Amino acid sequence: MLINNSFTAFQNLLNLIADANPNSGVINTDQVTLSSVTVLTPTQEDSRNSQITLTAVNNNGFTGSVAVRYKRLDLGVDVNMGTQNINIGENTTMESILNHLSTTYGLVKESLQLTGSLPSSQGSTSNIVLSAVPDSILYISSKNLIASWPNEDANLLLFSTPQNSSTDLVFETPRS
Amino acid sequence: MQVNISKSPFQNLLDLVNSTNGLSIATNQVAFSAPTVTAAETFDPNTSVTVTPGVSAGYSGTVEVTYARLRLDKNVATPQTTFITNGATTLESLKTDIATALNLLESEFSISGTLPVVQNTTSQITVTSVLTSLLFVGAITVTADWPIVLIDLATAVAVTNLNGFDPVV
Repeated sequence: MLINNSFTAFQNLLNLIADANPNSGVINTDQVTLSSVTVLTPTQEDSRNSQITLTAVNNNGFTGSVAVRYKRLDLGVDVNMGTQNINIGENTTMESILNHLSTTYGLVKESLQLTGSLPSSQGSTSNIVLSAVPDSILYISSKNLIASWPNEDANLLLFSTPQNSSTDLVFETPRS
Repeated sequence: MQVNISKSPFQNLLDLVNSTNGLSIATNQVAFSAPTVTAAETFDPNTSVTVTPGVSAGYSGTVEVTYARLRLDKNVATPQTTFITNGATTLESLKTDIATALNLLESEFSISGTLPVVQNTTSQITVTSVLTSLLFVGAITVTADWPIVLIDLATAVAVTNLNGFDPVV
């Protein structure tokens, strides 16, 4: 199932459990606590890379605990953004980039972090890294991105002058 | 003699009259008036009933008999006073449970009160004998208890090898 970025990471995991156990009834976030995630080594037969233990909250519907195994998304492999480039502007912040990525690619923002620094001037670029927060329930690894602050002239050129077109513009003479 | 709930209240009282007097009066030979309270329910006797001739021949005149109607919690040696309920329990089903546990005839009592509406709560239910009961008298209070029902997580989550999250493409 797809991660739903309108839910928390916790709720997404519970949704994944419910998807595999449709007859077990709904487990709510206030009924269980989660352990830290244990890293599993995937094999050719089993791509699951994570294990986490749910433990019942006292007297709230469940008792005991259970460990489940699942696959967290590898940001470098399983999240295809099509391009590494992120165009920024004067008012762009790391937070606004994170919001943009979350909205555009359906990522759960609370599970992600951006590191690096943004370009300080027009026409320059810098490397930034999108990575899973420590102990993320949903993601592992990281993805290198390039933040580009385009030159305004370059932008204009790119917009008005597609390849193989001409800059010699001529109005047609009206027909008589 | 003990109340036999497989028989009607009338038959139970008639059995009491017959066994005490060495008689074998048939059910259609006498009728009983409504019971009259003569003393507090803890006393023996606490009730009188007038016996009159029935539709079948054999007897004339009337006679008043006195006896002790049982308090509702006295028809079993160890009365149960707490009853387990759940979301499906109704006053009707609880009444049946009470009748079974206390060895009562459902026609001889009513219950009132509000059942617990959520887990881990209790409520008090009043069990009251009907005024015209030939066998039982008074009222008692029992506890309706909706306990917490905990499901083992390992049972609820039987499938522990989950499908992974789908890639973002």
